Parts: sequence; structure tokens; C-alpha cells
Amino acid sequence: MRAALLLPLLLSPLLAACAGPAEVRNEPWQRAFYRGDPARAAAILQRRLDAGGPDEDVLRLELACALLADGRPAEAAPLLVAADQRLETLDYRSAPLETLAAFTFSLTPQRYRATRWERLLVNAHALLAFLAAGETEEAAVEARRARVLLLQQDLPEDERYASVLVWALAGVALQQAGSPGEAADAFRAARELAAGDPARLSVLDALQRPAGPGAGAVLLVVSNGKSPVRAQAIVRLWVDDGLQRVQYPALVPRAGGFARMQLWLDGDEAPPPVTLLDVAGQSARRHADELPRLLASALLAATPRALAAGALRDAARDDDRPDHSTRNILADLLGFLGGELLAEALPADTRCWTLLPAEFRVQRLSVPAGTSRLVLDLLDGAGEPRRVMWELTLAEGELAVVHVVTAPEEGFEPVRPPGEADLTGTLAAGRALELFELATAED
Amino acid sequence: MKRLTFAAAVLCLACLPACTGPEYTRAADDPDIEDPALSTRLDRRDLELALDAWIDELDASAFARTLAHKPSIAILHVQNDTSEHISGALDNLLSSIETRLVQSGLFNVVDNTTLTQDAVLAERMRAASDAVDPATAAALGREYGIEYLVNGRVGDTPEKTDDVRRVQYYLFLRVSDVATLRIVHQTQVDITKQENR
Repeated sequence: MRAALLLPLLLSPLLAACAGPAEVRNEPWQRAFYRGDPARAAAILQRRLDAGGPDEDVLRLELACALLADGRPAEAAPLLVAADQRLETLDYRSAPLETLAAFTFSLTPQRYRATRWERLLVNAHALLAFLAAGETEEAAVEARRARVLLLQQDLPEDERYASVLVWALAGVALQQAGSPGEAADAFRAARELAAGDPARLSVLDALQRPAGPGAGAVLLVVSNGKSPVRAQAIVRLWVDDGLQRVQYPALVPRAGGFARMQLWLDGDEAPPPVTLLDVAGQSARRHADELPRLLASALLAATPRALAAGALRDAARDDDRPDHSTRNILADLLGFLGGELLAEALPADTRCWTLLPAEFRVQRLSVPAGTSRLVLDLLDGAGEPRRVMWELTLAEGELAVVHVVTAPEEGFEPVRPPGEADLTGTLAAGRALELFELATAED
Repeated sequence: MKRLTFAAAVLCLACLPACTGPEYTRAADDPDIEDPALSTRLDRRDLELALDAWIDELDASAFARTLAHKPSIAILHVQNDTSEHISGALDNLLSSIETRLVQSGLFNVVDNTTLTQDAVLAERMRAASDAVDPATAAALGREYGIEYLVNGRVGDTPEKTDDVRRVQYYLFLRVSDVATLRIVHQTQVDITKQENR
């Protein structure tokens, strides 16, 4: 009997160690990407993708981002279309706790399931990729796909900035594809969401303004900085008069990006790109919303193991002897160590779309037909300021799409998970315990 | 030792099915594989339905019945105004139309790759897929002797709930007289595809 209990206990850490956390598996290609070699990162990702497996869907998203950063939008676009077709989603704010627990704390690798937020960004990236590749008809298709998603999702308030970017890019794509009515609808939707924000409204005006006679236009999109990512963290919570240690996917911010940008066209200062989507801010808000449900699902997933640790302790105890007897003290210690071992043995799924930027900044400039010189100064970053220059030759009415990704020049830093914390007494823990009790009472 | 060997053999046999990989089937051997709709995009069966409808209506039309001679015709472009990436399917539809027109013997079909070699004309036709402008029409008539054009557009009404995504397609295929820019024949084909999750 005791051996039967010990066996799963011993196997759990071994099983957990088989796959290794996502942040460790991702390190080789992330190193290449953040050290300025997105082409190498793309090659590593392609090999991993060719090998198949449960990470396939998230690897496809990462590969698309690496290709975009490497200036290969025509290769990125079909990957994003494929991702859009295949990607499964999991709504962390509404899915049943059992579903969340089964996915987030599974010992066997599960097929990746994106958040709703990531799902929407697939369309945004596909739109951008098709526009940058000059495939306006396909970009318009993505614009319409995004529209279906936006209209269906009945967006919560905090997702609305995301849709300003998506609606704006959709407007540009539809305009370019010769669908002015649909484009006007998209810009109107973007404008309603950006109401009261003069900076965003001015960019939307610039995006919608048709090129004048003898002029072309440049659409500049800057993917700035690095989005926060998930990492393994351990928290302590008092549950039923006992302290439980559970792992959960914490959200870890990453340094990087440039706070200020200056844009120059043929030597004259032009309006700078404006943030249309704050990925980092929205991710943090979303994670704060999801935290109670994540903690509750962690407790739910840990329940059988906590019972096993209790059974281990009970099996070792001798109730005929006093609590302070050596045997019972050792039994308590065994139960405690079993619980500790189990906490380590139940890692959370920390996979996420890591190559997302911290924010998207956008600007559109009208340029005279012919050759123009565009200069972007990236200032107030962690490192040296950077200057990026382009010489663009445009015909009348032509739109050039310039996409800048700052992250590849910002250096690689391993993700540092937060230290172990006792969340007992916090609002999130209180809500998590309520959800956990509700879920276990239903059983 | 024997038991151990036996157990290892059983384990290996049990693992074999997992190593066999995907299976492939030829439609000539199993025609049923053509039937199921695998996505909300347009598949060959949808295109065949559209093509058959167009050809049947064209054959029965007053325009085809009153053709005095064998006019020249060029197949241009079907504009994709949908929420699905079906440009490849639409290119195949155009090639199928070309094939049927050649086989019908009613028209002299001009190879549209000849037209696309003229970069200016190709750009004009790409931009004017839904309605050819007079300057392009004149160029087509004067320089290439083309009397009729085939083009079209496909639009959709896509709708989505948590579990269902439905796409209703409206495919319009038309023949236009290059000289007058008049539409001499038009067919509408409606196709609906649905994805249930």
C-alpha cells in the first residue's frame, strides 16, 4: 500500500521533468532572435515546427514573428493564415475551472491553446504581413476575418485598444484593396473606440486620408520592446487550516523598447508614430483578472496530490503513539516533504506567444511621388539610441509599408520568475479560495 | 528472463500503431473522400457547381444563341471580396472556365498570359476587375482584338458564434462586351459553408 502511494509520488517529478518548462525550451531561438539574428531564430523555429508536437501552433506564431522581424512578410503571412485556421483558444476568464486545471497543469503535453487576446493578434499580424508583402487583396481578406472576430466577441472594455489597431489596419487594407465603403466602416469603428484621445485620432485621420495628386504614402508600424511572458512561480496559500504550495504561470514583464521616437522625412521632422496598442499594459491587466481563476485551478489540480501527501503521512503515523513521538514527527515530516515534492512536480503550462512586442506604434505619412528619405530615431531606451533609415521610391498613389521590430537589437535576458510568495490574505487569493470551494462543493 | 523478453515484445507491438504515421487515400479508389467539406473555403465541388451553373446559363442565354461568328474572349480576374483566403480557388475557377470555353468551340479564347505581359494593361485590368474602364477596353479591342471579357467578383456574409462559423458566398460571373462595356451575360451562384466546433 505504502509502495503504491510512493510510486506515483516518485514518478510525478520525473514526468514533470520530461518536457521542461517552456522558457527553457525556447531559449535557443530566443537567444538568436534577441541577439540580432532573427533569420537564425526562424531557422531553429522551422526545424522545431517540422518535428511537430503539441507546441506546433505556438511555434507557428513565433516563427511568423521571427520572419516579420527578418523582413520576410510574404513567408510570415501564410503561417499566420494557417495559425488562424488551426489555433484552439481557451478563455481564462470564463472556462470551467476543471478545464483550466486540466490544460494548465497537465503532466502530459497538451496541444497549445491560445488566449482570446492572442487569437485577435493573429489577425492583426496577418493583416500587417499581407500589407507589407504588397498583397492587398489577401490583406483585405484578413481585415474581414478580423471584423467577424471583433463583432462576434462582444469585446470587454479592456480589449478595445487592441481593436483600435486592428480596425485601423483593416481600414488601410480595405482602402488599398479598393473597398472604400468597408474601409470607412473600419475607420469609423476605430475612431469610436479612440474617442477622447487626440493622438490616436490624429493617426486615424492620417491613415484614412487618401494620397493627394502626385503623392504616395508610407505606413510605418513599429513593434516596440518585448511583451511580458509567462514563467513558473510558486505561491503559498492557506487552505482548510493547512499551507499549500502550488505552482502557477506568473506574468513577468521584460525590459526593452524605446520610450521616444522621432520621424524625419527628407530632413523635415514628421509626426512621430503613436501607440495604437499597448500589449504589455493589456497583458498585465488581463493577467490580474485571470489570477484568481488561475490560482483556484492550481489548487484544484493539486487536490489529488495533496490527498496523496496526506495519505502518505497517515500511512506513516501510528495513532496509538502521541503526536510528539519520534515516529509521528517523522510521519508529519514525510507528509510535508511529500507536499513540497508535489508542488515542484506540478508545473504550470507557461507557453505563450513570446515574440510579441510591448506595444505597436503607427504613423502614416504622405510623401511626394519619387524618391524620399525616411529616418526613424529610437530614443530613451535601455541602451544606445538607434537610427533606422530608408530610401523609398514611390509611384503616385502607391503605399509603402515599413515595419520596424526593435527587439532583435535589444539583447537576450533569461526570464526570471518571481520569488515564492505568500498570497494568503490578498484579494486574488480570497477570490481564488471562493472559486475553489465552489468547485469542490459541486463535486 | 523469458518473461522479460515476452513483456518487451508485447510492449513493442503495442507501440507499433503509434509509429505508422498518416494514411493517404486516392480519390480514384475511394470517391467518397471528395464529399465532405473540410473548411469554410471553396473546394473543388463548390467550384464545379459554380462552373456548371455558369456554363449552363451561358449556353441557354440569348447572347450565346445569337453569336454570328466566333468572337475572341479573354478571361480576366475574379475579385475576392470575402473573409476567406480563396484567391487560389478562384484562379482555378478561371482556368476551368477557360477550359470549358475552349472546349465549347463558341469562342476564340485569348491566352490571358499574353495580356499580363503588357504590364500597364495588366495593372489596369487588376485594378478594374469589377468594371473595365473605357481606356482599358479600347486597348484590349485595338491591340489584342478581344471582343468579350469574362470577369467577376465573390462576396460573402460571414457570421460567427462561439461554436459555429457560417460563410454565405455570392459568386458573380459575367461576360462584358469590350466595345460597349455592356454586360451581355451574368450568372449568380450562391454557396454556403459552415464550420461547427
